[in-house]
Amino acid sequence: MPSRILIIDDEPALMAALRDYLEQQGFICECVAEVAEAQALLANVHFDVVLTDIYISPLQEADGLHILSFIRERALDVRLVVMTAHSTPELKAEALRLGASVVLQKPTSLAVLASALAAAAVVPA
Amino acid sequence: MKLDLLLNGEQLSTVFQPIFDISSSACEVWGLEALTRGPAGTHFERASVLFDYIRLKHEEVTADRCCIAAAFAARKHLLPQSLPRLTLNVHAGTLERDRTFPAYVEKLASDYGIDTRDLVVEIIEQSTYFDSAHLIRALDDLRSLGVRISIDDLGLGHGNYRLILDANPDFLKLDRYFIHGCADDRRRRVLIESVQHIGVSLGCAVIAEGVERMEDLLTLRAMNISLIQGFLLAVPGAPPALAVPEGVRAVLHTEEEVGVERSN
Repeated sequence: MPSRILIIDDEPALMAALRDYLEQQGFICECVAEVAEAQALLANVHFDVVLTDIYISPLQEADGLHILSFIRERALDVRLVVMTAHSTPELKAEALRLGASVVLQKPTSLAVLASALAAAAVVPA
Repeated sequence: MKLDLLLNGEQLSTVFQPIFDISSSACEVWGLEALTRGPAGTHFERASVLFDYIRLKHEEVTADRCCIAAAFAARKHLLPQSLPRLTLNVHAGTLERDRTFPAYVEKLASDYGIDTRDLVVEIIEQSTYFDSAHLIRALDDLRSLGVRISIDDLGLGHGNYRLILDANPDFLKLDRYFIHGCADDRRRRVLIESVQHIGVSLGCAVIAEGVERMEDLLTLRAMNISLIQGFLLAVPGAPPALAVPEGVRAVLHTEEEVGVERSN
């Protein structure tokens, strides 16, 4: 069965490109650009992997970490892949502490991203 | 989709699910619950996603107003005017914070030609409310319009006994979580009986929702709970089926005759 991926990012062009590429690779993708919408979906729909940016406008707070905390608090059975253009050792450590399988530096190639998602999807949460 | 677009009245649609009164063999429609859905083809078509999102954005007040407007419009266009009461879901937080909510309901009902005495407000308590005084005042204002009050999802989440005291409800609505499987589970029956006892003592009728199995329906009837909602009787629709399926009615009728014979 294809893995279901929830993509959370605020760049529409990037999300469209990610969705097109990942669906060609056999994933089923849902895209959202807002933290609350992502949380509402996660509370009601099962995903195998969440792919989230860390900084999601317009607040420019570390909203991706809120997503990770939300998943951790509810003990949701989902793997986490984080990508960010502003990675610091502290941010990376916090994302990993909150359950991320991997933290990718933006920009990253679509092939690397798909490989990370495929690896995360087969690892037990 | 942005929240303000989502809460545009034209983006929301309403389906109705009947509540039947099974106390007589006619099994008539007692009321219709208005259930809101987001735009078709979006994540928000699923009500649980829609309302979790609204609550995460703390926009219950705006959302409740929009849902009621959508429900009144749908009732006017989809349902026969002769149908009985309409039940509306309203967050406890809306009753607490929206100081003009009763006036809004009165005006909107008047605009759509709906008698407010045919309305039941089902209070949803998904998060705790803080200001009992304002909630009680809003409910008193609604009551003065003839609106009746129900507590939704009693016993689930924040739906607690405090609200029974504050809201002085006419109806207590038991969630599917307690109903489904009650025929086979003594613990569920004990809880249902306790709520039924509270209802009888306080003068509130109990409504059972989420009834999906014939054996649960018969168990509820044996416990003198006659207001029933669930997929066994009718799924939500726009418009919904307004009669209990013949097979269910036949079983209820047969069981009733057996009961009469036994009592003789």
